[in-house]
Amino acid sequence: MEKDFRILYIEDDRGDVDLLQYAINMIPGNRCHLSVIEDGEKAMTFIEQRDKNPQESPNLILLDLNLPRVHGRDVLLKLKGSAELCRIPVIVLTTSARQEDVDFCYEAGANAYIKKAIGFKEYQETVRRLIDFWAGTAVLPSPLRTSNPR
Amino acid sequence: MIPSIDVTPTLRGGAQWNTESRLLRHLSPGDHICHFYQKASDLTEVLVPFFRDGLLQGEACVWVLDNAKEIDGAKKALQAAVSDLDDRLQKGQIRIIAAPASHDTNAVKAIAELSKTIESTYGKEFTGFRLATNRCRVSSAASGLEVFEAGLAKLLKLHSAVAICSYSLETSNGAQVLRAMENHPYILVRRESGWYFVESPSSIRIEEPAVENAEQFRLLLESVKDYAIFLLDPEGTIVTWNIGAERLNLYTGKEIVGKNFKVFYTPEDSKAGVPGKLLAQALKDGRVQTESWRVRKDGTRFWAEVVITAIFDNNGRHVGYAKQTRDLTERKLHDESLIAAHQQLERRVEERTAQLNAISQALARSEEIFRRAIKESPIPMLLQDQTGAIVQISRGWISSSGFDPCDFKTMNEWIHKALKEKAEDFIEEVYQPHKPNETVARGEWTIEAKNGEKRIWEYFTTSFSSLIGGHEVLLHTAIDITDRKLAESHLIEQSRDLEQFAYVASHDLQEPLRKLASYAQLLEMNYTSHLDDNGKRFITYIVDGAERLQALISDLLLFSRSARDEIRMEPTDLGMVVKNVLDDLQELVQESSAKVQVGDLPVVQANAVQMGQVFQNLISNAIKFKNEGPSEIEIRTERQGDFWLISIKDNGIGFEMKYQEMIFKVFQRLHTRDRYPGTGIGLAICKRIVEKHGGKIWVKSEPGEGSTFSFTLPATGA
Repeated sequence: MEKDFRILYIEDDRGDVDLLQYAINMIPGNRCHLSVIEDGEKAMTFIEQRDKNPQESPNLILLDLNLPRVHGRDVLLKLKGSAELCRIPVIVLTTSARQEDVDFCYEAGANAYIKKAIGFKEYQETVRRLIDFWAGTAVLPSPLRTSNPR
Repeated sequence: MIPSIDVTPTLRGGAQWNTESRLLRHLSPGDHICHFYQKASDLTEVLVPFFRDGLLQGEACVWVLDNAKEIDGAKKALQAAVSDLDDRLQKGQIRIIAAPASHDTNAVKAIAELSKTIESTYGKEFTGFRLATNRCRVSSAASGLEVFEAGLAKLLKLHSAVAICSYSLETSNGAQVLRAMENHPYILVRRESGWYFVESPSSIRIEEPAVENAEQFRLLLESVKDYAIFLLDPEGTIVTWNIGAERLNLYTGKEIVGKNFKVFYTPEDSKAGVPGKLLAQALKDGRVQTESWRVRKDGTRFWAEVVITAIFDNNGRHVGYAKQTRDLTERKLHDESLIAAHQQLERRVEERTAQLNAISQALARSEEIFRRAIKESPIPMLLQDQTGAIVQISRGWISSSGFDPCDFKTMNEWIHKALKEKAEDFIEEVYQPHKPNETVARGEWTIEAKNGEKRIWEYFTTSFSSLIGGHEVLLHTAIDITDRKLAESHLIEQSRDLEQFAYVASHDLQEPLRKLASYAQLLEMNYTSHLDDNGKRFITYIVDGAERLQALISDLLLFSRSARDEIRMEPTDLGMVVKNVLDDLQELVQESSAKVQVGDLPVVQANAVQMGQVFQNLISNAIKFKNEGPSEIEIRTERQGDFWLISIKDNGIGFEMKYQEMIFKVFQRLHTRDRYPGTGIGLAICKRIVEKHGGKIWVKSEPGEGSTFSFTLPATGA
């Protein structure tokens, strides 16, 4: 991992954020920077502002579904409807195993749907593979939008 | 008054009567004439001139016809002879009427009626009275004819009237003809050359040579079919012969006339001189009647009733005998069988009457029971007749709808009161269409009770084509499903709550659990150096507890979904399902070095995911509850009628059969979690899924000997 890898985590639970941070920290030589938005409403505002005033975007967005005030589903729709952020990969990271949720998210344009494992060891392994793939294997779009396909 | 005319010279000796000559000339007051006819023209030929003469003479006339249909024809015929008939009819000089029904059955009444008719017609302005009555139907009553004719004769004398009684030769039998002849002083009979007057045999007082009169009598008698009637001379030589005699004795007139009547007697009777003795007795007493065997021409015998009457001329000179013979063989048999038949008939009538009474009583009883049953029924029931009027109404109808019988008289009224704006729809869909004896459920209808409360009725109508008094009735039955509907809507709400719970369970409940487990592990990983052995053990408990709770929650979720979810059934290859399950369980199978034998499995109509859950649970149980040594598992299939029987047999620890029902219940476990981990939901899920597929699941087991779980699935479409 040669460059910094910016991750936006939309998650209301501090414990989950810490857990992710721990899991990332355990990946040797990682250069991930985690920023957090704590609820759905704030996420919606964030997306609107980015559309008005484009700045460097995160490389990867992790989204929890069960968010207070505005549901993760709506945040996902907003993200994929955003001119600025629609190109950024969104990984739904949740405890819900409901097929309805899975189907909805993929239909809305989520790039992956991952069920959080119960035990930490398993969870850490999931996160390691996730970061490994998106930060190491996948080729990602530019942080700043260069084209306007619409 | 009819002028008294001495008719004797012309009538005696069989005067021929020309219809153009005036009949009146031959009649005197009180004359009572018997008239035999064969066809309708025979009637008018005699009666038209009879009445014409009367009318022109200024006499009152009454023409009594057999039935009303003949009145017009009679009028027309008479009108042709009497041009001013209409005036005379209006004046009441002549009345043409149909015989009252009593003429056939009650002679006394008939005479009484005739008497009234005569009295009401016979006024002072008329010079006489004449009557014609058609007696062709007189046959029925036994002594009706005699009573009638005797009564009529008296009437005629009383009113100085004359009458012609017409008898049909077609419908009267021989006996009746004889009786008619005997009861009238004069007989009018048609021969080829015209109409002849004949003095009745009962009043024959021959003054002129007997032969001439006998000739006329013979002609009359010849037409009698049912009696052998013939005349004998004083020596017993046969003088005349008739059709009846020919039929009875089988001789033709040519063969027999001139022979002695002895030929009819048996040789024994002839030897004994019976024929002569009979003649002698007839001569002595005037008449002799016997019954005995007689012989036909062909030698056969018959049982005969014979009446021999001596005939004298006016001077008292014996001129011969009239002999009438009747075959009593058949009559006797007939009488006997008639009596028997009659008795049997009466018995049958009695039996039938008793049966009918019993049936009608039973019917009345069952109708009463039926109506009572309706009346007392707590279910809304209403019985109506075909006009829509209410026949019976049940307690349930009143209590559910609030309308009692005072509120409505017809079904239509009720419909409009209870169905309000839906009344027309109801009439069209429920009330009108029905086939006899058919019960039809006509769906749910919301009725408005008298107090305004809405009730939901599931409605049925049944029509009975002949229940009460043979009329069609309609039975309306309803089931008040208001409460059930309410419960159903509660259930739907509850089901929504459950769905909410399911979501909570799948997400919200697992979140804190996950955190608990994860941080306990983090603690274990990174802080073990700060903990003593107890601390480390406690962390293990936390992790284990959290994991178990998570398993419970997800199984519980599965269990609640297995019952609630609408599942899609499709042709499912159970062989593939089992293969996938075994792939998933590969690790477990290898770990426990289990041998799994899978026989041929069918393709069934099922949900593959749920079938997978069933096999997953059963196979993993078979592996989990193992004895010492490697486990052997056998999966087999067998066709049983409309079902597939699938069994999974293991050589595991087994259990006592008293637990066989318990193990299929949620959270019921037989073993400690330490030895055999599990949530206790697996088999409950299996049971639900199998039952949802229309099958059954059960188990046979013995401690230490292993268990066999079996379930069935419908083989439809397979």
